[in-house]
This record gives sequence, structure tokens and C-alpha cells, in this order.
Amino acid sequence: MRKIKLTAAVLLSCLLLLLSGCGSSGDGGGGAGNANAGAESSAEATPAPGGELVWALAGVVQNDILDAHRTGFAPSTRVMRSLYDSLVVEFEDHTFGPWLAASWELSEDQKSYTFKLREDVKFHDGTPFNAGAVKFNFDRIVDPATQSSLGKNAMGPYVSTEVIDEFTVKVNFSEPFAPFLSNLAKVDLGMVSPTAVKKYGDAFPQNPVGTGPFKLAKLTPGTELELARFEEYNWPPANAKHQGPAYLDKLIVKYVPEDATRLSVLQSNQAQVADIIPPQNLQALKADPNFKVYETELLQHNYSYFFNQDREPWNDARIRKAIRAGINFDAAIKTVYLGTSRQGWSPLSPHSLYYTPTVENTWKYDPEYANQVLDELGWVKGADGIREKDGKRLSLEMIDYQGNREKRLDLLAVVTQQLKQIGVEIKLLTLPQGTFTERRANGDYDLYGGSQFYGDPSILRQMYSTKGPNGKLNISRTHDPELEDWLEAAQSELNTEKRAELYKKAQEKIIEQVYSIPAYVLDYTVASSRKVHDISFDYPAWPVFYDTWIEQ
Amino acid sequence: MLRYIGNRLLLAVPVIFGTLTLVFLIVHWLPGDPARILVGDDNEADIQYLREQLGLHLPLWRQYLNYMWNSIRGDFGHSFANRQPVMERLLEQLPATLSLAVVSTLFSIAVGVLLGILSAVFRNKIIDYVIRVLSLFAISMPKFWLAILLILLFSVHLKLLPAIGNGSFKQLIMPAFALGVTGAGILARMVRNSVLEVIHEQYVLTLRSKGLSERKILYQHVLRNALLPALTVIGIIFAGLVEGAVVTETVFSRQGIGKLIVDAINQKDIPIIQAAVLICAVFNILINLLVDLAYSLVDPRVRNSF
Amino acid sequence: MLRAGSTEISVPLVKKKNGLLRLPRISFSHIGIFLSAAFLLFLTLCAIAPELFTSYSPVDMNAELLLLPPSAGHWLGTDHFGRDMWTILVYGARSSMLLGILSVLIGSVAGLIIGMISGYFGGWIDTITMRIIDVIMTIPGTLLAIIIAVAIGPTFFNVVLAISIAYIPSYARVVRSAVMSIVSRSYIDAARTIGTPVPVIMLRHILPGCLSPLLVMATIGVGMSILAGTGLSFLGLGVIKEIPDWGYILSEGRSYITVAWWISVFPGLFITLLVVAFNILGDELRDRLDPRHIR
Repeated sequence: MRKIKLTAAVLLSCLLLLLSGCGSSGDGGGGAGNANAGAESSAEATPAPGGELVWALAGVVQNDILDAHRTGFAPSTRVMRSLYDSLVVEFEDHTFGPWLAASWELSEDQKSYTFKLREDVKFHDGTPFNAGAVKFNFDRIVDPATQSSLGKNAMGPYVSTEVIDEFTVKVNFSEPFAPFLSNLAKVDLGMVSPTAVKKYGDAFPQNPVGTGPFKLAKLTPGTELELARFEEYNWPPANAKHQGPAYLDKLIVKYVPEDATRLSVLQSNQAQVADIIPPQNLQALKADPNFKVYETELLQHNYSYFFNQDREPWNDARIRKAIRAGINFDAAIKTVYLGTSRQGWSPLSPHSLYYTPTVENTWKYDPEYANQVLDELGWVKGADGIREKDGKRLSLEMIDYQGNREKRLDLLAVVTQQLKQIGVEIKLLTLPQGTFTERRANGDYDLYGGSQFYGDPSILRQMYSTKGPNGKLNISRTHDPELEDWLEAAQSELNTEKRAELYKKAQEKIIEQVYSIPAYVLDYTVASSRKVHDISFDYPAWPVFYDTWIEQ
Repeated sequence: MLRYIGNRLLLAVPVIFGTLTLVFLIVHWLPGDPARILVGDDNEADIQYLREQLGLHLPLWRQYLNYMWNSIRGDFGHSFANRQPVMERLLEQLPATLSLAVVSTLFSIAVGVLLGILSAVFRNKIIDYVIRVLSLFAISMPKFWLAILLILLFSVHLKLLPAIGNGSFKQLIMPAFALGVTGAGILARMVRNSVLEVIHEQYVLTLRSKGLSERKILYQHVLRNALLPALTVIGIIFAGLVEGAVVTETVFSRQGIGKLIVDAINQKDIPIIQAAVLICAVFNILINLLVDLAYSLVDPRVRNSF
Repeated sequence: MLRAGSTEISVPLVKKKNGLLRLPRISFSHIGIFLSAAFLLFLTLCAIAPELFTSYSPVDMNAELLLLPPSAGHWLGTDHFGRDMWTILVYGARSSMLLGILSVLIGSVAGLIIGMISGYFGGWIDTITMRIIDVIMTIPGTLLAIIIAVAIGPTFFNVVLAISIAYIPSYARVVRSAVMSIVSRSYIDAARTIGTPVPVIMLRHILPGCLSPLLVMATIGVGMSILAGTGLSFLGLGVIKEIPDWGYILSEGRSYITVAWWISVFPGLFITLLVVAFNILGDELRDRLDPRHIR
């Protein structure tokens, strides 16, 4: 009997030992850059090559697609900025500098650009970069077989590319296309290697080859990828801090879409960089001397609420105005974002090109006004507080598939409570993507929310004009001929003042007619261990690691 | 024996056939147009083009026949999302899930059986009560809740274990534990009952009265018979791991079939869904077959009935 | 073979302290049953009349009270909207309990009908039904529930339906085995010989025999359904309502785990306790209904 007890006890303790023995101390990843207190960080030391940086990405590279011409998901595009270069770089003041293109000029009729390319550029696979490569790239983007969406729209009224000589190329449009240079600066029109595309075909997205400071070393599908320094790199954009190859040996990107996990990974030094820090952790991180926090405004069409204007009664501007007046964004944003975000007044974010401050504070939270207008329009409050007219409830069905990204559903929850006070009901339906796209296409919804990262105000045409790529199914379901004319004109207006004026009028009208209700301005946040230096941002807010180095 | 295996495999064929059809029906019942989802916006021309590329413009019966014919030949097509061959994509993700499944099942078995035996042997003593309460909680806890608690304790506060990743063994510990705890609980309870049942059977009394030592009784007779029903349970546990894998992979940011399937369902990536469900089904059938075989090996009465 | 009733006389593997056989008055299982019943009663009251247990409202968002830890005024703390956690859990009891009970009700009734028909009539009806069930069962339960939930859309009833459908095959199988063993007994033949109509045979003779295994499965099934439901919420496939249900608030709390652990921990605790309670009751039922089961 004693023997059985003894054996059992021994077995049990072996098991316990085994389990505990595995949990020895030490961490799993990351090279240099331990975030221990140690000596106070001295004044800017000199950059030195070497080190591996682990980046905990807030999101996943969707379907492992790393094809520059198939951007659309912000996390994927953020990663791709390190793989692909663009012809030009856009500065903060929205002027342009040389990158892969050394210089350029616009033709007399404003319909063609002639670029003189750098002559020393090579792709990761050794293919030389030249005019032929540029032509290949542009033709590929507009080819339906490539399944490019943002990229294709970014090419606008593209007609053709001519190879003038080995390093001179001429791009032709059917009419002047104002957004072109700005679009060129983005990853969407980044340069891919023609040799690689021909070689890999359908498998190119998992075998990306560009001219960027980093090349793909290893892809672990769905989990992480490893970028390694491209040793021959020597063509950084005009605003870079140094020349020659990047400092980091490796940039390892791990997908960590879970907020809390991403934080813990950063804080335990499993990663040295993490992006999109949740508001509830931001203050603590900023106050922590072991970490640095960068904040940069994401240039985009702000997250806004879009009514289905094809459906009654949302086609009436008065009701839209009344409902907007029932929302207290100031209070909602304070609650949800804990003071780390601010209200958006225009569809465009404040640092966007041609943002007009004239729309700021043009509307406010005014429940009396809201109640008054709704009463006037015949909507009477029912027994449960929700208004009714002719047997219909004043109820907005909101469809969504992205979940609580950027705390949007939390914001909606607060807004729902606010609108209840004026007798308006919001019913949220979270759907799988398939159902969502069906219903949106069929116009089977009342309200939905969305944002789109984009630097150039031509995004307004895509979202508010029936002449844009989505035609009548434009996201806001707006049919306003006057607005459309302005947006069409702005598309081909290369004179900055005239263009600014057109967009100013467009923004003002969009806000005045409530074609959308902007909610908040997103600040893209990146936190790094304090030993990581010189992370910069490309626009619209993609992190750039070319100048980044790690203090040893 | 061989004839039995052969028979079973043959019988499995119509079942697999049925599963293939069921999967096809279910998948096409899912809402949404994959082409529209992939294009991302409402550009009708792009959508129509993609639809034709993916073969979605064909009438349903044509798609069904193509699907069945291709499946028999082992061609499961290409993922709608990134054109990768489906089998390749699944096989990329399989090892991570498999290693998680195997380790967590081993954990379940080791801990579950051990605790079950202890519980039975020390019936109604403190250790029995403790084990019974623990197993009860083990089978009642939501797996993702346990996973979150583990991360909170071991990664955030104690900083002992890594919260994400799937390369090293250390990264496997928490996910395997979270996944295996339920199985351990189930096994502990079942083994306890099983052992107790056997202990009280006549032949044990006979053995005792013959003067055999307690230990010999336990090891050679009781355990052998008591563990038999546990085999079926092990089969169920292993097969039921897909469900747990989905949440575990999400919380711990691991690679794996679970996450792949959920994403595919959301994006209506038809070829992936079809192939993944098929794999789960085949897996299920194989596990059942293995369990039945193991049963027959251990229990000669069963063997002889073939 | 010795029946359980005679265990008292056999020589146990573990020596007793004294030689007399005496069952303690209040045993471990009695405590368990009492606690479970009490907890379930409490939750039922929460579901029917939540106002009895809390004076706050579950939809009261208060920007001044965000993310507060447990305290005298807020027993379980507040969430990211300033809502009182205890209140949310109390009000959320209704949908959690309803989800579990409804899923099991639908699943077991459907399984009962299918199993009875299949088991009684046998022949080709049985073969076809069983093959179909085999095919359905090759798809893992949760996966099936996910697919169904995605397919028919995220309303409360649809989630219930999705979970019930995933469990029907197991219920049907259990009922079928019970039916088949009953049918083989002679009194069924006797009833048939004297011309008793089929429905009467089914209801009076067969049904009672199926009930006990079904009841045991169902009780434990409630717990499993609740877990499945919270799993779906976690994956974003659940229903989002004004009053968040336990699975949803648990899922929401994930990103706050480092600053406000109570938002995830307490809902999970409640879910666990609810499932434990149903499991204890299910165990007890099984002990009483199945004579061969040893305590």
C-alpha cells in the first residue's frame, strides 16, 4: 500500500518538475536593445550598423500578400514600405523630392510626365532598374489580371508609358492628372522587379522583389516575416539622414493583432518596436523612461459615418443634420480614447493636402436643435423613447465587419446612447465580410462607418462622386452634380491655388450637407525601446526603418 | 485484422464522399461573393473579371462536378485570396497546429490518467476531492479565458514565458496547457469512474482472496481494463482539438489551421474552406479507426468479433 | 458481477480508519449540489428580476468612472465605458442562461425525434439517417457552429440554432442506442402483437427509457452550449446587444487586461461557475439514474 502511495507521489512530483523546469527565466527573442534601466541614455550617440529589430505589428499581412500593387490593408502596406521604393518622395509640406527618379518635368499640355531615372539602382534580385522596368510596372498596375485596386485608381486616366532611352521614361494621361506625383510617392505605385514577376507569376506576392533597403529573407505564413538588409542599397529618398545601406542587419516583423499581447511583447522585450498603442496604455508608456513613443497623424479620409442616401428618410439633408446634432463627439472621444484622439471636422485629416480649416466648428452638439427639427419633420417619440412616423421607427441599421478596430464599436456604443436621448435608435449588425459586402452593394443598410488611408484629396472623388471608380455605388451614396463637377475639375487641375479652392468648396459642401459625419482623427502611434533610434515616417504614416539603428 | 482495416477504409469512402458534398453545399450557402470581397470596393467591372477568373460564373452543378472530379484527383485548387495552391497553404499551417495538438494531448493523457488513478485509489480522501474539483473546473472553463489568464500571469506579471510565437518549445507551453486542460479534466473524471468500476468487480475480489499483492492487482489487472474506455475518450479529445485550436491560435498569435479556417470562412475563400473541412473530416475518420484498432488490440474479445 | 449496491461489503483498496461502515451525513457531493442549485437559483433570479441585485443600470455610461478597480461602490469594478461590472454580469445572466437552455432544448428535442424514429423503425431509415449523421459528425462541432453562424447571420436565435444543430447528431445517437436496447425487449413485441398503435408505443413505452440518458446529456450540454456561445462571441460571431453578454464583455476586456484585469476575469469566472453548476447537477442526475455508476 505504501508503495502505491510512494510511486504516485514520485510520478506527480516528476510531472510538476517537468512543467516548472520548462519555465526557466529569460526571454525568447530580440537581439540587442534590452530595455533594462542601466545607464541613462546619453545624448545622441552615432549610428552604428548591426542589430536585429523585432517589430510587433498591429495586424497581419493579409493572406501573406506582399505585392506592392495589391495594397489595401494598412498593416501590409506598412511592412511593404521597407521592401519597395517609389519614384519620388513627398515631404511634409506636400512638395516632392527625388528618389528613384532624379528629376522630372511636366509637358506643355500637362498630360505627360517625363522622368529621368537614377542610373545606379538595382532590384534585390540583381535586375537593373531602368525605363523598361518603370513601363512594366505601370502597365502591370492597370492590368486587370493583377487585381490591383488602390494602385489602379492611383493611376487615374493613365494611357501609356514610353521608353525614351534607358533611363528616361514618359508617362501619358488622357487628361491632366493632378494627384499623380503624390500617388507616385506611395507604396501603391512602388517599383517591383519585372524579372521576379515573370519568374514567380501567381506566387510573386509571397516572393516580393523590390529595390527597398530591406529584402525578404523568410516568410512564415500567417505569423511573421524576416527582412534582411539589402547590402547594395544606395538610393534613399531626398529626406533620408544617411546614404548607403540600412543600419539594421534584420527587421523581423511579428504579427500581433491582439492589443494586450502586443503590449506585453513590447514590455518583455520580445519585440523592440510595437505600433498602434491602445489609448489605455499610452500614458503609462509615455511616462516610462525605458520607452519612446512616436505619434504621427495618419493622413486619410477620417473614419466617418455614412448614411445610405439611397434610402428614405436618409436622403433628406435636414434629418441628417438633426442626427448629427445629437452626437456629442467631444464627450464620446474623451470616454473611448482617454484623451489621445481628437474630433475630425472634415472628411480629410488635418495635415492632408488642401485640408480646409474653414469647416472646423461649423457644427456642434445641439440636442435641442435636433429634437426640434425631428419634431418638425413629423417624427414623434414613441413609448420607448424612439421616434416614429407613419408606423416606421427612426432606426438606423448599422453594418460592420471589422470589429472593434480602433475602438470604433466602442465609439458607436457611446453614440448609440447619445442618440437615444433624441429618440433615434442605432442597431449594430456585425457581419462576416461576405455578408457585409453583399449588403453594402445592394444598399441593404442605413448606416456604416469607414475610413481610407490616402494622402491626396482625390480620395474625395472616390468616395463622393458617381464619376469615380465605384460609380453610383460610391461609399457615401452621394449624387450631387455640383460637388461632382468640382471634384472632376480638381482631378485635372494642376494649379495649386485653383485646386485648393475646389477642394475647399468640396469639403465645405460635404460637411454642410452631411454627406458623411467625420468622427475622430487617428494618430498612428509607435512605441520603441529607448535604445532604438531614428524611426521616421513616410506619408501617409508608414514607419521607415532605413535610418533606424540600435544602441548597443 | 487486415481485412478489418480494409473493410473500414472501404466503408469510409462513401462517408468521405458525403462529407465532400455536404461541405460543398454548406460553403456555397455562405453569404457573400468572394470576388466582391477580394476586390474590396464596388467596382463592378473588376468584380466580374475576377469572378470569371475564379470560375464562379459557372452554374452551380458545373462547379460541383468540377469540384468532385478535381478532389478525387487530389487537385484542391488555389486559394481565392492569394492564388496559392490550397494544399500548399494548408500544409504550411498544419505542423504548428499538429505540434500543438500532439503536445496538448500528451499533456491531457499524462495528467488526466495520473490524476484519475490517484483519485480512484484514494477515494474520498482529500486528494480525491481536490482532484475532482479541479477536473470539474477544468472542463468548465472557457479555453480563451484560461489562455488570457495564463498570459496575464506568466507573461505580463512574472515575465517567465513568451506570449506569442510558434518556434520554440517554450512558446508551446502555455497554448498546449490551455488547450489540454479540458482533456485532462475529462480523462481524470472518466479514469476515476472506470477504475472504481473495475475495482469492485468480482474477479478483483477473487484475485485478492488468492493473495495477490495490491500493487500487482492495480497494475496488471485493474488498470488494463479500466483504461480501455479511456481510449475512446482520447480519440474524442484529439479530434475535438480543432475547436480549441481556433481560439488558442488567435490569443497566442500562432500559426495554424484554426485561424486559417476562420479567416477563410469570413472571406468566403471557398477552396480553402472545402479542403480544410475535408482534412478535418478525414482526420476524424482516421482517429476513430485508430481508436477502434487500439481497442481491438487491447481487448481480445473485441478482436474476435471481426 | 457485483452490483454497486454491494460495494459496502467488498474490501476496498484503501483501508478505512475504522471497521464500521458509515456514510457521512453530509458528503462532498451534497455540498456541491447545494451550492450549484443555490447559484443557479441566484442566476435565474438575475435573469428574471435583475433590479433586485443592483441599483445601477447596465447601460449607464459614465466618463468619470472609467476602468475603476473593484471597490465598495463597485464590487467588481467598472469597465471601459464606466459601466458597473457587477450590474453587467447580473443583467447578462438572462442571455447566457437562455442561450444554453434554448440550444439544448432544441438540440435534444430534435435529437430525440430523430433517434426514436431511427432506432424504432430500423432498416433503411436507420441506415440512411445514421450515415447522414456520420457525415455531419465528421465536421468538428465548433467548426460547424461557426459556419452556420456565419451563414445565417448574427442574431441571438441564429446563434442558438447554430449551436443546437452542431449538437443534434450526438443526442440522436444516444437516443438511438437507448431505443434500440428497449425495442429488443419482449414487452415491445407484446404491445405490437396486441395491436397498439405505433405512436402510443413510442410515447408510452419507448420515450421514458430514452429520457434518462438524454436528460444527463442535456444538463451537461447546457454548460457546453454556453461555452460554445461564448467562444463564438470571442471570435466576433456573436450578437452585440445594448446589454453586453458575458462572452462579449470578456472579449472586450482582452485589450484592457494589463490595466483593468477585472473586465475579463470576472465574466470568465461567472461563465465557469455556471458551467460547473450544470455539470455538478448533470453528474448527480447520472448517479441517480444510472444504477451501475459508482460514486
